[in-house]
Amino acid sequence: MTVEAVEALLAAQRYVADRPVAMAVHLAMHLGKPLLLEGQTGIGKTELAKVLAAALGTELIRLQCYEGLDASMALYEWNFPKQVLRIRLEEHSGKSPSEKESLIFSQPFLLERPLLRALTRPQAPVLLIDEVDRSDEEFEALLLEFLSDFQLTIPELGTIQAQQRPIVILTSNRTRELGEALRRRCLYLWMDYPSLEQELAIVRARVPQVEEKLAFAAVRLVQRLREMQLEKAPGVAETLEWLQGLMLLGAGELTPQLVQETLGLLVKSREDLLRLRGAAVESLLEGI
Amino acid sequence: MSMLQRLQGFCVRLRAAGLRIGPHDLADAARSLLAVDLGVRWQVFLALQTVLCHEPEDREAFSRIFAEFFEDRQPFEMPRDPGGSGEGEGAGTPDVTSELEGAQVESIPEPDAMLPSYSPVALLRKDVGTLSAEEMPALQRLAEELARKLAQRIARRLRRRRRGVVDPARTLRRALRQGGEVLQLRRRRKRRQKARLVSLLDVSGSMQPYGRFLLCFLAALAERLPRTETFVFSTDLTQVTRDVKDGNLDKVAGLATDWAGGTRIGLSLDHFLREYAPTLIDGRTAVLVMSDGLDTGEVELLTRCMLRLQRRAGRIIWLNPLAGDPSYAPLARGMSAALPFVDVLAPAHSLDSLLQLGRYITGGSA
Repeated sequence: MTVEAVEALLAAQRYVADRPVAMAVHLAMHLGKPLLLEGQTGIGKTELAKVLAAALGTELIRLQCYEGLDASMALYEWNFPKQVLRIRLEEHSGKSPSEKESLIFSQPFLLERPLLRALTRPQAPVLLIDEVDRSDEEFEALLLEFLSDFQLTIPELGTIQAQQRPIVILTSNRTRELGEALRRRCLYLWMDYPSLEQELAIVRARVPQVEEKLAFAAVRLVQRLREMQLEKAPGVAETLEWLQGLMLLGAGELTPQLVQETLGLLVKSREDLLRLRGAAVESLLEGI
Repeated sequence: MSMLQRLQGFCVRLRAAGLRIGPHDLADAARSLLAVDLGVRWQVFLALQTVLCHEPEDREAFSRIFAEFFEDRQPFEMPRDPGGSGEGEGAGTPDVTSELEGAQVESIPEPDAMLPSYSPVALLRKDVGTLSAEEMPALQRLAEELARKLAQRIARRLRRRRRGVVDPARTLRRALRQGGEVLQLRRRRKRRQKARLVSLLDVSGSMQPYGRFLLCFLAALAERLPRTETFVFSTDLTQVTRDVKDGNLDKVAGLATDWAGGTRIGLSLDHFLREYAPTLIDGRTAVLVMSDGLDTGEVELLTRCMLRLQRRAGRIIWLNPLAGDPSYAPLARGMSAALPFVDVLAPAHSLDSLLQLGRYITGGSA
């Protein structure tokens, strides 16, 4: 596969990937290395993994990270109630304790969590490890081990090797500095807000029914908003949502009133909304 | 020069510019080139960038060095098939392919150790009140570095300790060995939720030489340690958590009603206790007060507030820039009133002294 092929593959899923994105995905597949995506929220990091899975016709396995995420939620866990019931059933079976033990510590009693699941699929899945910056360092160490060998050892069962190496995508919003080792292990892609042209292309791909004139005005307004140093600048996701909202309202063009009424789709903090009251919106619309 | 040598030279240049090029990176870079069309400059550029940049900050240096190193030439002379079939997945001749695949891990020579443009050790010990304006940026960098280390230490320490909930699987396994009877509960090693850190920074006149520096430090700390809340106070108290987290330090300076006015510690604490403490503070919270204790308000109110605070909070740490002076004795009115309720009184005049903070916040030995 070539870079262009990857670009086309993503485009077929209506995901507009610029060259760096296509290249990163291409190399991640070619080198078999995990890809670390960083960038603002709502810029399409998670979406990229979803789209990639759809494009390759494979399963998307998602692990949402949070503070306190541990092995039992990420790797595997034994199904305890099932084990207890089984022991009760086997009480008078005459099996020896070690037979019983090996019985209840076998595959049917194992609950697969995302990382283990990613190893046991017959077809290489896309493994999305989302917002890895939210997890803590302990989990990072665990992940590092997993990402270096793509295998997992369960003491009672032995080592489980990846059937097919999953394509791994990690995302981070940079709320915490990731460890050097993890960074090193990954290919790296920083996703920026798209340029006007790129964002227009995204809008055309995602909300094709929107009129060109309205799309252009809306995207320009969003791009201006991003320059305003808001507390939370709108991402591409917000642009799309907003446009869909405008379509629902049957809007033909942007008026200050319309923008004001729908601003909640774009700007999601009270302080930002207060800043954009009244005259601010009008000056924002100037020349658009 | 062979292609691999050129690539090597490129990596050395990147390293000299501060990019952290690891031992595997050269091999990965070489392999990445096999996946692209070497005759197309942007493809080579992006492939190498994806592999060799590990942080957004790397990209600027990368672009510059790429342009310099490969100038306007084709990055790599490609002996292309004269028939020009054009397909072939961008792979080169067998020679090039095997050469790139054979890229050796240890083949990037170590650069000479780079000398930093400032001397961290000297800065570390220096009293911040005496720093010149030129030293501020270096100081800010150091404060951030420090906060990162500290946040790591604190987070790590907070995770140990505390017994968790019963771990059914481990309990069962133990029970099996004991004839199926649960004789002993096995616990899941649950990590404790990270303690909140609440910082109260005195920004009154007497603290002015330190105020900005301590604010930088708190900002860097807050960025890395979740669940921290930051307040500034002088004659009254203002919550600045959000701005500090977002790095709007200038805005914070503006928010403090009088950045360089008098201090009413008691009144500010009272405000804090009434409005914020109920939701912010519990027995696991460390409260960090940064003040010189030169109070112009009612001492009695301060005493009462400190008592209330002590009952609620896990630990109270008082950082006093003046305490860095070996001959310092906590004689200031406010300070001596607060002292009985404080778990730790420590200096906060230099970066070095702040580094000790981790120990106080988590209560162990650093």
